[in-house]
Amino acid sequence: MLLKGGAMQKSVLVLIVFIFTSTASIAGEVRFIANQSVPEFVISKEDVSEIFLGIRVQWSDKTKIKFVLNGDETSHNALMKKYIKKSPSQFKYYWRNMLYTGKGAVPKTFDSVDDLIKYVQSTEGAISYIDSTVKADNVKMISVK
Amino acid sequence: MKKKIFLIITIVLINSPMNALAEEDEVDIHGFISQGYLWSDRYNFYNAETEDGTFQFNDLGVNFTTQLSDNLRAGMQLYARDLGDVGNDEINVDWAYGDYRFSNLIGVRVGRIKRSYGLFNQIRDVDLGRTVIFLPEGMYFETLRDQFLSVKGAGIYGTLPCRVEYQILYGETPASNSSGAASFLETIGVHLIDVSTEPTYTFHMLWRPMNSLSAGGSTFNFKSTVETSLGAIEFNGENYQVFLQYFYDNLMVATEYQWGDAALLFPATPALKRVAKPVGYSGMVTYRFADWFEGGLTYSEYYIDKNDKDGKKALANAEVKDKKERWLKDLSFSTRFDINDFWILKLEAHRTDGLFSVVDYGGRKKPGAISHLVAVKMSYVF
Repeated sequence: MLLKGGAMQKSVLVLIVFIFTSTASIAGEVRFIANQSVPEFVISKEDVSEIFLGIRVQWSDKTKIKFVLNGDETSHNALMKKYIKKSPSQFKYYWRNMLYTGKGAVPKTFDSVDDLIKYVQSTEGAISYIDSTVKADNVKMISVK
Repeated sequence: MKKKIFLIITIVLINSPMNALAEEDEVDIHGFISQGYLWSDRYNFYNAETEDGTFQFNDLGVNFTTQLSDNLRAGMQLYARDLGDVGNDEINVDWAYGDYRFSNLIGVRVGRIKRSYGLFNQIRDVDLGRTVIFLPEGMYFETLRDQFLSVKGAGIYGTLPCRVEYQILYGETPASNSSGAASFLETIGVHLIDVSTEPTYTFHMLWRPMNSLSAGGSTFNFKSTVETSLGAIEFNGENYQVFLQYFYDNLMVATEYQWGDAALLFPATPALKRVAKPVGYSGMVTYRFADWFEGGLTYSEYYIDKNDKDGKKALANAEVKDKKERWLKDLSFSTRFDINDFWILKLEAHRTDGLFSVVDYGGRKKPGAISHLVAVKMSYVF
C-alpha cells in the first residue's frame, strides 16, 4: 500500500528522529577510583582524557598507569561525554587504530563492576571509573578539578 | 606455502577476543580480513580492471603484540593485500618494532615503524578504524601507499607538557617489485628491475588544545633509485602537510593540506628531467547516526604541479597524453554498517574529475574528465 504525501512525510520524520535518538543515552555521574599505590589525589580533566587515550602513560612517581574501562553503558557514556569528548564509537575506533598500528592494546572492559573494583584494588597503578552511587572500599578516590 | 600458513594462523586465532588486556609476557593477537568489489563506469582505477568490475580488492592482516615489561612493548603485523596488479596477496611485514617508553615525554621505537603523516597515514591499512573505504586521494594516493606507509629504522616519540604529541623517524622505505610504483611503471611499458632507497626523515606533530580539537603538521622526504628496463630513474622529493580535526558528539570534521617538491631524474638522459610542485587538499565530514550506521562525505583535490594546474604546460612538453592526467577532484559519499562487533560493511560512491588516478583510459583519444566509481567492502575483525 502506498502512503499518501502527508503520511509519508510523517513516517520519514519519525524514522529520522528514531535514528538520531537511538544513540542518545542518559549520562550519569562517574567518580574515579585508583589503586592505593597511585601517588595522585587530584587530577585535571585533561589528565583524565590523556590517561584513557593512552597519551599519558606514567604517574608522577614514574609507575605505569594501568587503566581499565567500565562495561556499564551509562558510566562509560558519562566518561566519554564529560571527559574524553568523543562518542563511544569514536573512542572504539581510536583504540582499534592504536591496536592495528602497534601503538597500544585495546583497554580491558569489565562487565561486572565488582570485578572492576577488585582489579583496581589489586593492581599497582590501576585507575578506572564507577557510577557515583556505587560503593568501593580499599581503593583511592581521585578527585578531578 | 606462506599463504597457507598465514591462513591457518588466521583461522586458528579468529576467535581471539577484541577486548583483551595484554598482560606482561602474554601475546595479544588480532587481525582482520576484508573482501571488496570495485566498479567504475569508465576507465580503470587503482591498477585494477574496475571498468569490468573486479573482486581483486581484498586485504588481510594479523598482528602479535606483547608487553614485555611496564615500559617495553614489542609486536609485528603480517599483511597481504590485492588491489588489481598491486600486492597480489603477497605477505609482507607491515610493521614490526620494539617500543621502549622512558616517560610521558619520550619513547624509542626500533624496527619497521608506521610513518605518521597527515591525520590518517598511520591507519591506511586499518579499514575498521574509519568510515571511508578510500582515504582522500588528494592527500593519500592509494596506488603508491606502500611507498609511504612505513620506515625501516628508528624513531623517538612522546608527549610534551603543552599537549603536543610528536614523532621523529629516520630510516629507509622498503620497496618491492609488487609495489604500486612497480605496477604503475608496468602500465607505461617500463619493467622494474630493482628499487633502492636512501634513508629519509619524517617529522610529525599533533597539538590538542582541547579534547575535541587536534591540529598539526608533518613533513617527510623520499629518495629512491629505480632500476628499470629503460635504465635508472631517480625519484626524489619532500612533502609537507598541515591538518585539523574536530569532534563534536558523533560528528567528525577533518581537513588537510599538502604541498611539496618532486623530481624525476634520468641519469642516462638528463634532458628528460621532470620537476613538479604537487599540491593537494581535502575535507571530510562523518556522522554516526546510530550504533550500527555511519555516513560520510569527502572532497579532495590534487594537482601534480601547482604551477600547471590545468595541465597545458605538461601537454605542450609532451609529458602527458591528455592534460586531464595532471589533476584529480574527487567527491565521495561513504556509508558504514557495523553489523556487530566483528563484521563491518561499507559502501562508497565516487565522482571523479580528472585522470590523475586513472592508469589506463583504454586508448580513448579524447577521454572525458568525469567518471564514477563504486566500492563495496566487507570486513571481519578479531
